[in-house]
Amino acid sequence: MNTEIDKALTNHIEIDTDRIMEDIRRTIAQRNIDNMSLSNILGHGTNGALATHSSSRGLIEPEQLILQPTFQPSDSGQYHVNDLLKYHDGNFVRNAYLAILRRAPDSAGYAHHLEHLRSGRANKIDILSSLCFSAEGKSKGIKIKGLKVPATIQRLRRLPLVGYFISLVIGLLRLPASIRHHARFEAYSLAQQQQIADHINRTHSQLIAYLQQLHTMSIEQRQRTEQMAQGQQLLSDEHKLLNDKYRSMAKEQEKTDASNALLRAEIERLKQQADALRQTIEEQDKQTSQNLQQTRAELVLQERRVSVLLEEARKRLSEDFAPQYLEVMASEDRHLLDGLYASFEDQFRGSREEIKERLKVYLPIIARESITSDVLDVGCGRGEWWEVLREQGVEGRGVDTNRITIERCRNYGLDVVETDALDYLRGVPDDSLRAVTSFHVIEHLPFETLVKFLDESIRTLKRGGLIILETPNPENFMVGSCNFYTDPTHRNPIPSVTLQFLLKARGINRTEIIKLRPWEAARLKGESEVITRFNEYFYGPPDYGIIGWKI
Amino acid sequence: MSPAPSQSFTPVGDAVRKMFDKKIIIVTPWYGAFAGGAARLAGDLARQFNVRGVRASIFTTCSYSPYDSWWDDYYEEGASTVNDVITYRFATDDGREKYMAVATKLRHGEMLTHEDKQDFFGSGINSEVLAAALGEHLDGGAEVIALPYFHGLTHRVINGYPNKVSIIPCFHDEPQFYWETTEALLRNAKHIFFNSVEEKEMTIRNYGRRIGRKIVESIVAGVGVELQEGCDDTTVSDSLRGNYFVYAGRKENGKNVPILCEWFERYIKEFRRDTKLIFIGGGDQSLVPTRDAFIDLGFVSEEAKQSVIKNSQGVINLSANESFSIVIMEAWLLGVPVVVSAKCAVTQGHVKRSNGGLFVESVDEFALCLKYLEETPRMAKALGAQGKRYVCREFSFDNVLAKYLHELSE
Repeated sequence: MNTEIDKALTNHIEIDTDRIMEDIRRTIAQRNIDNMSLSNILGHGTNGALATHSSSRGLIEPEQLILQPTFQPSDSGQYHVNDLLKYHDGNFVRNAYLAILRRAPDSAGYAHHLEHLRSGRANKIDILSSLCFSAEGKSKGIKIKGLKVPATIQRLRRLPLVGYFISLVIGLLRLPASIRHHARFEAYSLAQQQQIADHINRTHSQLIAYLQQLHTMSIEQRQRTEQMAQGQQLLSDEHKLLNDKYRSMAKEQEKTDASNALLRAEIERLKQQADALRQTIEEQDKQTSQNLQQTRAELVLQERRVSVLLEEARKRLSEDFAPQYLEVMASEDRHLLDGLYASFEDQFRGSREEIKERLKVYLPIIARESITSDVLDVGCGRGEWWEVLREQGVEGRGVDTNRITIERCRNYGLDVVETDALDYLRGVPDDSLRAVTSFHVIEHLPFETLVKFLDESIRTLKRGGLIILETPNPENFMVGSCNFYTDPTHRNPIPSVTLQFLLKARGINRTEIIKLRPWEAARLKGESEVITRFNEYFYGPPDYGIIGWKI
Repeated sequence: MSPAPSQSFTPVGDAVRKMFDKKIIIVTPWYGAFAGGAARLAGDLARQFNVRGVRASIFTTCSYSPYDSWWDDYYEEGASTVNDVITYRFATDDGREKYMAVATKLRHGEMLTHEDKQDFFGSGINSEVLAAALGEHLDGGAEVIALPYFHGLTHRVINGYPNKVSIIPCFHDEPQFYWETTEALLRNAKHIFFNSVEEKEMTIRNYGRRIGRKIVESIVAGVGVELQEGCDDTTVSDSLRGNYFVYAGRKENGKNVPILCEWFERYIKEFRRDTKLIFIGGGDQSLVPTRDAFIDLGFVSEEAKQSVIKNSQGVINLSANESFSIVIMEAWLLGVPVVVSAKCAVTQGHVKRSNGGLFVESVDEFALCLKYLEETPRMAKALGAQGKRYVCREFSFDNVLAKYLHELSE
């Protein structure tokens, strides 16, 4: 191989890339066939890996039958005619090209010379001389000793008429040599035949061995097939079992479907009952509302009557009443609108649970200060805050003047006193309360009363005690301009800065303001100043709480 | 396949030089430190023309490269000498908004309108002032050659001066080649210089019927290749010498670098080899696996590159989309065989015509070819030698420039 490459390099004979690629592709194809068939049958396939050669698997490897020696081109460019005449047929033509023209034969030239050789129209000398004396051959300058004479004779033989006699004479003269050549050719042919026979015999033996291997493989394959058949039987049994299971499951499914149908019917029946019940409740609710309205109307009527009676009594009998009776009458006068205000709160303040949830915002402060008792809730209303505190284990008391709400508080088991808050506070000793709380009360008070309330609250608080006040936030335009006035008993909205000022002015120096429940969901998207302002003014916190610490 | 007949030209001699007294201007979208294929081709042509006494200069933008912020003026405007060539730079237009919009559509595989295609080339790397300046030189009788077709500047100067500016299109088999904008470009170009037979065949297949003789009669000028003097043999350690293959070029998906890595890994694993694959050049380093068999040298000097290639067992280029491939020519000039993709008509054509290497289309073929080159080093050497003969015969600068001058003289 190396010599061939050297010669190619030296003599500029082209190595054909296409041929190399063909060899490589043939190797790949052969290997793929091996991988797909034999190796797989034998059960040790290469899983698509690039194996080196099939011989490693112990299978037969086709032996190349080479009947003619390998041709070695001469470095010196000189040959003897016998160097080339020893090749036959296609090999002769190919080697003649390589030797004389220094290139592989083109397909047309190869076919032409081979056809002449095989048909007897030309012999080897003719082909050698035609290549050697062609323009291309002359340009290569290759010398073939011993070619000139036979080539000349060949030319003479072709002369018309004379050629026949020349051939005859040469034939007679060369008869002994021809007989010798014939004997040698006979021996050569027999040797070739023997070589072919040996090759066939070897191949035959290999084929027999291969067939034996195949036979063994076939037996193994049959055994595997039987195992597979057994496996198939097992699978079939398994399949039958699964089928039975499937059928029983189908029956179960049918039963389940029937139960489901019954359940659906039951659900439908219950739904109808629920609808009927809902309808009854709605009717009863309607009836109750009507009764309530009627009761309210009667209550209003009664209030008017009492009012007229009291007024009349005042006009006619005031001089005869003792002062304590007049006080009682005046006190009763203040409760005339208790029912109305309780109804108003029910409608506008929010549900009990909602208010409880809102008030939980203050629980962390109560917990942080470890307050568990001595809390006074001024204007406790329906008692939501009180209930929240009780759930946390905090003890205290509420005060209010509305008898309706006080009654409700008591129904919830809360400790509430019916009294005026200021009067109550005046009776509480100095530094005795841990916290005074008041939610949505101060906006109902005249300014002077508010200041007095603050003074009394601060007086009764222990050091470190808290005052928590919650009131509508007028910084929200909707609250300040409209919602505040929904409650006709409200007096003036109190901005947080004002309340903070008042607390400081009356002795509470440490305060904290909590803006409550801004309407986040309604806020407009965007970061412009107009949007920011709008969101602040219209969707800002509707309430605020202020916490003051007595230090 | 029989070798394609080489068009015969007399090497550039005094007679040709005297005949050609015009000035040549080569227009390329960028030129300078970043040496992409087009910029390198433009620079080599201009320099070699100058060496042979033909006045040639480069007109380009101030952009650094087509990959980075091409709309930024990286270089200053004005004249300078770059790589021995007088280079005139002009301000780069900023059309990134429209260009990016179309590029995004392309990336997402969306249908493009005619306007989109116009925007792609109209807003890509471009220079209005360059195009205006070129007008004066054309009026003065200069010959202008623009390249490549993929960038907007080429479209602007060729369509802006119909039948006055020639083109080296550097076509690839890619979507833009099939756009109607390419037909307009071919119609308006004065001369068309193809880099390879396959590029010309592809153009005839797609535009031959519509444009006709102009394409068929255009020449395959090829790309001139020569090695720089000197070869830094110290770059390769003795332990590595002769035990590696080389990939030289940008590391990117489009060049099939991931496939190359996968196939090479399969090769060394299946045949239990200790062979390395060395990468030279820029691009995406993350494509190179972090295993011992893969060595990424990044950018190296020209001398070092030659040394690495010269001491290798072969240069591999599996890109399916090459319009010429200077790298395989350089490998051949260094006597090294190449392994290319059978799916790339251009590189496979070179290999078949030169018998200078092997071409593969599957991992099995790839592995056996590498094994073949490793196990038969003398055969590999013979293939490399055949490649060298091919390059010297077809792509010497004398031969290539003679083709250009012959065409431009007409």
